[in-house]
Amino acid sequence: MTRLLSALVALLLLALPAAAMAAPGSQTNAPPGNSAIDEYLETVPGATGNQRPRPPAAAGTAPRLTAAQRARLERLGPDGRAVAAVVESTAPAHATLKPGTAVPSATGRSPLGEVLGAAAGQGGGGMGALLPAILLASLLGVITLVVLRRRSVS
Amino acid sequence: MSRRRLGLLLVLATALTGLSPAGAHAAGLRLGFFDGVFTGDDATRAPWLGRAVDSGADLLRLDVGWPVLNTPARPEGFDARNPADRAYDFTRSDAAVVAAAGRGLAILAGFTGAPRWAEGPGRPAGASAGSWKPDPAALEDYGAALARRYSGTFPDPARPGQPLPRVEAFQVWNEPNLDKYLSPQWSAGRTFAPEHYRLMLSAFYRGVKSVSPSALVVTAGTAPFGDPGAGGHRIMPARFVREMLCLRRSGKRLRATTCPAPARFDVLAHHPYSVGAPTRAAFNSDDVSIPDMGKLTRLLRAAERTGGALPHTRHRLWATEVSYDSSPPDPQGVPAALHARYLEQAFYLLWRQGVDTITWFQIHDQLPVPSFAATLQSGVYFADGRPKPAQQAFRLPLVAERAGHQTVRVWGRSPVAGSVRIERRAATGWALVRTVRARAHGTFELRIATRRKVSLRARVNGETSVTWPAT
Repeated sequence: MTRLLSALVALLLLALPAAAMAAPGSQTNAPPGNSAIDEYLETVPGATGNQRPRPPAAAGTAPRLTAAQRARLERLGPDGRAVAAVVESTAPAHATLKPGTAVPSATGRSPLGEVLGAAAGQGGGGMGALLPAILLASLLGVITLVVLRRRSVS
Repeated sequence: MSRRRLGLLLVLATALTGLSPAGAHAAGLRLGFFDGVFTGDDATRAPWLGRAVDSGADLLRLDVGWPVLNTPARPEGFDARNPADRAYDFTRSDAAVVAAAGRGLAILAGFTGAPRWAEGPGRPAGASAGSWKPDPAALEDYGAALARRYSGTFPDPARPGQPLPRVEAFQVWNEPNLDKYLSPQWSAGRTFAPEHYRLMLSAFYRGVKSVSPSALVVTAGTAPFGDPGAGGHRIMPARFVREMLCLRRSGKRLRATTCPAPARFDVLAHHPYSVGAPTRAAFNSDDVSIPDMGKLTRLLRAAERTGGALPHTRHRLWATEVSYDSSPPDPQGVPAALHARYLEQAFYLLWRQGVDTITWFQIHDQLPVPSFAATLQSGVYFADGRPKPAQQAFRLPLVAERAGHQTVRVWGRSPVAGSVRIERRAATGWALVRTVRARAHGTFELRIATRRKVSLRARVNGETSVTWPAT
């Protein structure tokens, strides 16, 4: 039983760095000797398959806190003001695209949705469906182990 | 006749069909070259024509261009359907066609790029010259002019009293799934090039057939790879062909789309380059490398059923460009011996998927200017005319692959008519395995019963193939 638990933990530990290392952008393969002839370059699909990777964000206006959000933070005193300043200075820039550039459909998902999406490899990198499958398998394995141990103790 | 008897007869007939003599195979394979050297000057061309014939080529793909005045406005009084009109200058292509036909080679004449007056209005600065929305009506006229000039009866202005040779097939455009050759690829977020190319192709077909009904019209060979998603410079070839043939995917099935003017052509062409061995399939489902030609065959047969590929006949499939660079001379190319095997394996795999004509790009290596990576060292000859092992493989290709625990399938193409000896490497030399009859430039196929790994070669009329390693 201990061996099974160790294997599951090892699998989990291996999965996490592999997911982190997965390249988010697209790569190309060239026929031998023709790497500078662009019509022969094969685009290696990412976790999104035949989808164009997200275009890199160009310089744009940083998102600002709404007036209501700012007022609420102001009311909290110096700590609130500090939080507002940090948000303003560290918020990512909006992507501004050239006219005619294809834009992947905006999902407008919740933070939890984004995290789950990223775990599922929907952000152009990651391990795709493999990572959540490994995590789920590990979780189920641990739960099974705990239940079996409790039964054997009682 | 009872059902049982009928069934028995069917089984017997099937068995007899399968018992055809070794070497006999209905589908042939024609081989040729595509290389700018054949449309160059006479002195340079002559030795390379000789080498093409020596290599067992059947045909050449020649880029004859669209040799007309390249003015912003259509030349005044221009009779575009008349190949003798003064706005045309066929001097270079006439010389190439006469020289190739003089060596007994069939000709596939192609071109890409429109004169300025035949482009659509408003070409953006970034679009390649000649690529912008070529006018289908102008292509129809040029098709008629080309077919008339190379019908076999048109007088050769350079050789009074003699006609220009007949050209067997005409190919309209090159790699139309790249904006380098046909632009725009996309318009307002939707594909533009497949539908526009369909109009170009059908118009050219009408022009050619109005003059020479027996001449073949070949689609532009599509480039093997596209960009993912929408809005790139390249559309993936299977997607391009699917839309050109008025088909759409519905789950795993193909369905017809509304298509008032379906594509008209005789041969579908593709350029199935691979980024690895010939057996290496493309990553993306709509890209098409050597082992993926079945994707296009499936589209073609579906379009024949739905009316998306006219006329209502079985259309042929050609690979009008394919090759690998060799090392030497390209340091990043494949080693010369492997280069030879890749060539024959590419021929075999394409033939097995229904391709009946292949033109290898090129016959000789380009000079590495500006670099090896940006030029092709894919010739079966080095730039100085020395043959590579691939030349031997081109002339007498032989491929063996295991078809089961006890069987090896052997395929080849003989340069001459006669008995082909299939030999295996033995401890004391080479031992005869089988003899098969083959026509000149005809393919042969047989199976050898063996559990062991065997290295094979073919011999015919004193010529020997490259050795196919233990299989």
